[in-house]
Amino acid sequence: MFYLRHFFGIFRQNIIWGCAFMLTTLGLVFLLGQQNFIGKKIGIWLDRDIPGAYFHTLVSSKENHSWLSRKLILLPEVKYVHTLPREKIVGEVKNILENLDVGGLENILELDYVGLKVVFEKTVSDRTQNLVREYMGKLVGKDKLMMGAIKKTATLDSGPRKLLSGIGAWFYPALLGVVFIFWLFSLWSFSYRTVEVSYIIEQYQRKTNVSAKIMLTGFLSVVVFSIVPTCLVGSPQFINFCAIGLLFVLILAIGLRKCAWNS
Amino acid sequence: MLFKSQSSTQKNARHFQKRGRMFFLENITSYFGKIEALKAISLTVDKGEILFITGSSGAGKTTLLRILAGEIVPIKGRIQCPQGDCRIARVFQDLRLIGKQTCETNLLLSYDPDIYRNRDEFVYDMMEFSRIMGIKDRLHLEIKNSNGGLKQKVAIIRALLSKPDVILLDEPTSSLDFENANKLFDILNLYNIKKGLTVIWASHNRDLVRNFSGRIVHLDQGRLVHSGRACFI
Repeated sequence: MFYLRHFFGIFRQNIIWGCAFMLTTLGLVFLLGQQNFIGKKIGIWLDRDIPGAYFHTLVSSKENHSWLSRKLILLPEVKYVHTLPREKIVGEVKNILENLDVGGLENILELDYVGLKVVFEKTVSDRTQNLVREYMGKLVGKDKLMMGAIKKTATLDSGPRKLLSGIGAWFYPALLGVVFIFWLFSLWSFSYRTVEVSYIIEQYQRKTNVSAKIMLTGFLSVVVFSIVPTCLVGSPQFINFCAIGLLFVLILAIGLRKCAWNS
Repeated sequence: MLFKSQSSTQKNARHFQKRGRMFFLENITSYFGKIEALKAISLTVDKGEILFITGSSGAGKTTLLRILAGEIVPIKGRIQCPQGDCRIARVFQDLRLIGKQTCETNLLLSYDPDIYRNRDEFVYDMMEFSRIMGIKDRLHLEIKNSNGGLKQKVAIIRALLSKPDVILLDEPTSSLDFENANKLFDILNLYNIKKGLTVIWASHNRDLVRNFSGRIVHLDQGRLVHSGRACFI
């Protein structure tokens, strides 16, 4: 209690670094305690806009394309099916024909189609893609379909998208690293202010290792406080808590065992 | 609470003089970096004695005090320090007060539950010392906004509040005028008589030393050149 009282006393006098230390400790405990949860969330968030291979198909508007979409989405490795309305298809075709200066052809061509964009998961194999296309042909009939070529993942995984995909793999370790560096810095800044008080206590109250004890008591109380929101998300990984605890004790043992006056 | 009744004063003084020595230093040599700060110093300090250490800057006064406090270990020589439950308090040359805190908070940091029965007793003594030193109405000031004299008084009170058996003062009157310096000396003298406090005082203040009738140790370039009465310096 003595050391905890001093910890919060120092905290009140150095509110900025105190808050920085508390927040980074909370962040670190949360990141370490919920490693799997955060990894999964980050993966979903980054993968959201990165589609896998896809192909377009034109289906006669007389066919039930909603039913077809529902059937396709139930298939494994199909991420989503996007419907392009008939008006949009007609508009696009007209536009192309006008550009080619063959404006009369739309009356000859049958333009009564609905477009479907079938997007696969990123991990889809070529065989699965072909099976989906064959299944689609069987459902509607090959003569009523016009299927475009499959745009492969390889062509999609280039440039910024490839970078985004790479970030997905490195995001958690990078985030952990950044929070850890901030935590170390806030720990150093806050403990720097603890040293003066500890020095006076050691001199006039004949206690030893006051600085380390104050920081350890304060750290443990912040960790206990941080565990509560961590547990609310899901069962935490306690082994990581032990790792950060050991690391902290090591830092204290190296850096804060003996304190000297800073001036 | 600070002092016992007047009737026991002389009896106590005689009692403490009989107690024997507090520090015993024999051929102490110490280095400050590559410089030889102390050269073969031999010195005995008795319990309940008031000892002045004089000398110019760099003579080794602070190094000698640090050795007596046990902060540094000499390279050569033998040192015998008080054993057991002996409290040594220090007044540092740079005062070592926490700038962001008030005078009162700085003083409260020296509260030791092993010395005082409760916090109220400590606060009572703190207020008494503040009243005697004339800073009672300025305890709420932050150290960084205080003048040198106030800081010095706070540092001295802080040391006295730890109810020491030995007090080591390193230039405690550097920011005080002659009147306040004399007042401090009177307080320590009274404490010495009533409580048997051993006072080791390193000072430049020639006027203060001149009026002192006790033992003075004079250092010159790390050597002890005189140990005796003030009139010989």
